[in-house]
Amino acid sequence: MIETKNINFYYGDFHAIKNISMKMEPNTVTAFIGPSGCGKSTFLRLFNRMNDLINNTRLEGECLIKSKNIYDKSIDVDELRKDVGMVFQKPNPFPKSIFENVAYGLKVNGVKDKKFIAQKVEESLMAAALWDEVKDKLHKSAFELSGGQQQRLCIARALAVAPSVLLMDEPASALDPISTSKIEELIHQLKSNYTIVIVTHNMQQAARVSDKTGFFMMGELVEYSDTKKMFLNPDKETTQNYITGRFG
Amino acid sequence: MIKKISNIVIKQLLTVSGAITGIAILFISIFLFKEGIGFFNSPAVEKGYSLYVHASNPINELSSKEIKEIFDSEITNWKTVGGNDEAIKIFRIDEIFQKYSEEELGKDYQLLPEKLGEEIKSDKNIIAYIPQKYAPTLTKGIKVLHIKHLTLSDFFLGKEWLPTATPSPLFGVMPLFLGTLLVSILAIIFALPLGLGVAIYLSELANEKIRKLLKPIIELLSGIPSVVYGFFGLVVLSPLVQKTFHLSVGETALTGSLILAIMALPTIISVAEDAMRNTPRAMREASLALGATQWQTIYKVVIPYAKSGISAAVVLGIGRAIGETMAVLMVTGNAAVMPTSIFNSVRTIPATIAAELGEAPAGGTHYQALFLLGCVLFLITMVFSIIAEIISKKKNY
Amino acid sequence: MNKKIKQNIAFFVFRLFSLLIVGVLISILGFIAINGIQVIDWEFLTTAPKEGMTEGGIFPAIVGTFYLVVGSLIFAVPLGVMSAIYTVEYAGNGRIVRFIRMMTNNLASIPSIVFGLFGMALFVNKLGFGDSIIAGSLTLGLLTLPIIIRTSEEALKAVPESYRTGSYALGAGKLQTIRKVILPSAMPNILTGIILSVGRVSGETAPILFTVAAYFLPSLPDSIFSQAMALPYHLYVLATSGTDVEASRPIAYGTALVLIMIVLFFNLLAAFLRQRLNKKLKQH
Repeated sequence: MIETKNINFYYGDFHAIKNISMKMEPNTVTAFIGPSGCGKSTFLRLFNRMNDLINNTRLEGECLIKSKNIYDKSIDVDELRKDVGMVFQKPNPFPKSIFENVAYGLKVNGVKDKKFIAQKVEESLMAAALWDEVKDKLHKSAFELSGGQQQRLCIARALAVAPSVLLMDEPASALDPISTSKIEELIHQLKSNYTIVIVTHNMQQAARVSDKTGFFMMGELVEYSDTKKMFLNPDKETTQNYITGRFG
Repeated sequence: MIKKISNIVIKQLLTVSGAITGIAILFISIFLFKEGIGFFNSPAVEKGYSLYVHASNPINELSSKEIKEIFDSEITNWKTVGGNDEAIKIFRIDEIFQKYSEEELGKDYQLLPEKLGEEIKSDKNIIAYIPQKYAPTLTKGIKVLHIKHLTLSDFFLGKEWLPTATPSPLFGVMPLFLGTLLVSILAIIFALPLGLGVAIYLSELANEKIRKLLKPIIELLSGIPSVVYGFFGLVVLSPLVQKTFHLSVGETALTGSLILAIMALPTIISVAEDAMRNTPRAMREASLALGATQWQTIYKVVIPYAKSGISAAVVLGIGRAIGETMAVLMVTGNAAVMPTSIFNSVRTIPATIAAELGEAPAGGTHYQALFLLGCVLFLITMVFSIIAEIISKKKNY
Repeated sequence: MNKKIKQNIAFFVFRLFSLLIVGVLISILGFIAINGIQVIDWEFLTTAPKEGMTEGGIFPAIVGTFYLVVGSLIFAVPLGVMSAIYTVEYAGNGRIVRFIRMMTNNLASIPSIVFGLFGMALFVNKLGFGDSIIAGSLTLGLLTLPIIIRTSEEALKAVPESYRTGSYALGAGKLQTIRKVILPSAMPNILTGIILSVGRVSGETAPILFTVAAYFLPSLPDSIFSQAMALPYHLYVLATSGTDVEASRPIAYGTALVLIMIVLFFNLLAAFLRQRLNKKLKQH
């Protein structure tokens, strides 16, 4: 589904991603772990070209999604981002109603059929396990929701445009434990339909939700294997040290 | 000990200066309103003059508008103002000189008051406009006409501004008010799309280098004195407007609003740009991550988010435009008539004050009327500034 | 693809608008510079108007504007800075500050012609100063007060909290701390505000119309109670009501250019100083 080939990424002179090649299979959850500043978020944001927004950056290597290099000149970035959804660290709903938040992606992509939009909004909210909580107040401001609900709304918003990949950048780091477990549960359910990549600083979370885990340090991919193996019996000593909490 | 006292004194001094802006505003309002309110206690006829009618005339008082219309021969029958059905005979003091030779009026016009009295007494439909200096000595058979005080509606709803008309000047503020409104709103209509466009460019599109170049340029634009804008408008813009639209004069409402638009731009741009830059990065990223284009993100997320800031910019811009004096004075032609077209010349409230205060004798009705205009202007701009403050603090959701 | 085209059109328009603004500024400045530079020479700057203001220079107007600037600053700077000290150092963060700030904003939004009216009513008539430099300076001082207060407030707030605590720790009182520590380190930033208001005062016309400005004076003012000519008013007179408007046009261009140069010089100076100070602050 996603494949990177010898990716190097620079912020100005700073070498942030060092020669990373990896593959992610469809309908799996891949977790990126590592100490803060290790490049895991930067690497994630390469998959929907979010780093394009930052001035003075440079990329080498290839990133293939569905076997197409997304940094090829022929790629329409907006189309790419429609297919590769993203959920951010802090819930960031728009200052609009709950309904409008979910409908936003459809509307900007030219969908005008109101019935279709309403149906998609409902489906997405259901898929994000939020429908029952908000169905009576769809036209209230999204800011009236709790933090956890807001984050699930953001997931619903991402699902509404029917992506095939879902990128999650520490989606639960700003949430309380109960909201976090709801998000994790949700990730489990979404796995059957989407390819999910999640960045997290919480190792238990990685262990709970992911099939495969990549451990990053100082811009390098130190180890990448099945989550079970990674947590029980890692190949590298650094991984072992990190997982057992000796640093980071 | 001395040190302690001086400390206390200094602290008190600081406290007082802390309140200085409040005190200044209080003083400004007191002085403006004190002079302005006097307007409503002033007679509508030029100081030192009176109106006389025949004693049998049932009319005892007239309003300034009625007097003006009588002397302009727009009202020719006493019935129109509630009197008998008789034609009005207007008498002006010059007529006495045609009737009598200088000798007959005596040395230093000693006999003038007497003759005037006789003249008024001789015609029961007469209305005479006479300086009090020559007030008729006669008391029987004639009476002084009481003139109604100017009222709020004379001032605010009056459609004519003729402050130097005799015998009865008119102080209808409507043409000035509408002129001000026309010029300011037109200016905002020109400036808003332009200002928003530049603000969007600055906050969303321009790279840091261009931004650093453009921002000071826009600040320079706001630093140019208004009299220079007026001068530029006078020598460049107004001939241009005249030629482009084939007008007889180039000093029009349109010219004024174009100049005002240029002057309002810096305010609009910087306030709107600030508001847009305050849109959290997370909002933009969320929108882009859903496949929206940058432009869609701007008008569906950034602009709605910055809505209150942008509205504040508009309100501030209009407030500025309403109060602007010199540039408008120099390029709008200053005809105090009800505005009918943007190609006609108009006169705004501040321009009226600037143009007329120099010639209005201190304490006179005209002077008071101009202060009342000042009060109106003060209140309007105050309201606009408070509204701007309220909107810019308001959250959008 | 449709949405891409829309974006391209919109962005093209915004770029065009921005260019337009630059164009407007260049055409205004350029027009006045080209026409004005031809009449400006040493004589123009140092002699009085002649022949009903169709010839000669603008010296009295320059002097008048200089007096007005100095006069208004003498009044506004101490008051403005003290007001800012009170707000930042004493008033805390509650209602009073909000009220003061609102009043300052309101004062800033009052049109300059209203200041003129007020100056005429209070200083010229009530206090009996007549049309005079002192009446004009006080009026202009009031007008620039908000600028000075705002910039001084910012300057005082920019003084690091550690300076204050450091001074208190050495046993200095509040006033001593303000005088010896806070004011000196805020001074450069306060100065930019003062420079900014010099630019503003030199360009204002409406407030001086009825408080000081003279149409023409054969000699320079000799006391603070005499009338004075001033550059912006002189330009207004030359442009609209001189003895021969056409013949005095070149002089008007020259006056406009001098006025612009003065105002822009002070604005640029303030901007330059602020930038340098900001850099310095970042280095620390």
